[in-house]
Amino acid sequence: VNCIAVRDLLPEHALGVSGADGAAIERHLARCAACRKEARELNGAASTLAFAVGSASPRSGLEDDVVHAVQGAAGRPRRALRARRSTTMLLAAAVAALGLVGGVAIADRTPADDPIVLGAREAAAVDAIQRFRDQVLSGEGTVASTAILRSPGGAGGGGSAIAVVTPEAVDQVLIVVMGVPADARMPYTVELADGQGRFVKVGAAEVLDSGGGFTVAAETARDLGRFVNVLVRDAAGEVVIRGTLREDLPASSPSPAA
Amino acid sequence: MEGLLAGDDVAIRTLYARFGRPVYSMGLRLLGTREAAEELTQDVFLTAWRKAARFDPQRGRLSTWLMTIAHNLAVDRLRRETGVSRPRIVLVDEVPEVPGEDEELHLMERDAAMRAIASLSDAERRLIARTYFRGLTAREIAEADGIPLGTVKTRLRSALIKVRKVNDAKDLL
Repeated sequence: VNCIAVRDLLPEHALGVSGADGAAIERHLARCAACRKEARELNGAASTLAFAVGSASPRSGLEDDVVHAVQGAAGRPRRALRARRSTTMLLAAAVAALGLVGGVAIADRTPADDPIVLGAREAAAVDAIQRFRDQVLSGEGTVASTAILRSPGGAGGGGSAIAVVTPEAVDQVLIVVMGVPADARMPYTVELADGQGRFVKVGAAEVLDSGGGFTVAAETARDLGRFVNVLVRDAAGEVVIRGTLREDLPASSPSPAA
Repeated sequence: MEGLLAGDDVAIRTLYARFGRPVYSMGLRLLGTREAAEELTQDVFLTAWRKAARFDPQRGRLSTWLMTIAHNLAVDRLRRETGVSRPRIVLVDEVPEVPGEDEELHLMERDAAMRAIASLSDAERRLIARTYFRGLTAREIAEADGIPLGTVKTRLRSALIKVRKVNDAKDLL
């Protein structure tokens, strides 16, 4: 990328909408003082706009949450984000496969009244999670927690989740949801909760695939170790799918017939 | 910055006192809910901690650096979660009647921002709003309005230069 191309993109870059070009622009700015000077001026102008939005009062406890979050992260050794990418890809592949192997079985609501079939399929999902968890646990001190997700009312739908908590600065979570209805209850949101009123929003889905499913993922500097409750909410805020992340293998639910 | 890197309580609270409210306000404006604004605020300070070693005061002001982080995270999330749809309108709380030292600083910055925006034409204001506050790219605006991409880029540059000039004039006062 040369100076002409970069300068053409600098206004958008300053306004935060350079998208995929952003990384190339940053690389150029790192070695070009002239473009860097122009970028600094445009960035300064754009940042002025940030103060035009009015002033809202956050709740008083947010300051403590911020302090605890930063201190929690600062207490962990840092490693370059780039080193995490391979794990990210592995996780993405793992959860995609979970969707194919285990999640679909759970999401298949047709035999929901057949406890034997349901139990067998859920066991297959647990096996799938175990296999991929073993692949993920490559880094020292890394903990992979997994969950089988179910509808709290037994209305159908389910999924799988895996969270990777590392001793480094970045934790990751991927969640596959399937078998939820595509109706007025959309969009669905997925969050992790710690049981004490704190949560991490993982993502949202406004479009479902043909199996009534979607996948969300998040990478965060927050320590996900205590955020063990996976909650999928509908547009009204009702929890429609839930599960608990556990370091040990999630057990299949006991057969209703047992 | 060293204090932030070390997770020092006073350093984090000092930075929060200075930027917590504008970051939260931006989150509320762009993302539309208090929950999302709180998440954004935590993510901004965590990102600042992660990148603190790379902050160079010679290359720009702390406020520019931190608010750029905040805006980029907000736009990323806006585009990821809701496409480029318009954020819901949110009513923000009134500024306290008796501002403290940090509040006065916020008011000065808000005043500077409003004067900068007032220097823009209506068309430029709309353009800035669609990019900065709604996350639309120049290409998306060009396609929506049926005008050449180069025209949109030129107008964006022109608008930012106007804002910069107002800022420069303010700094000379």
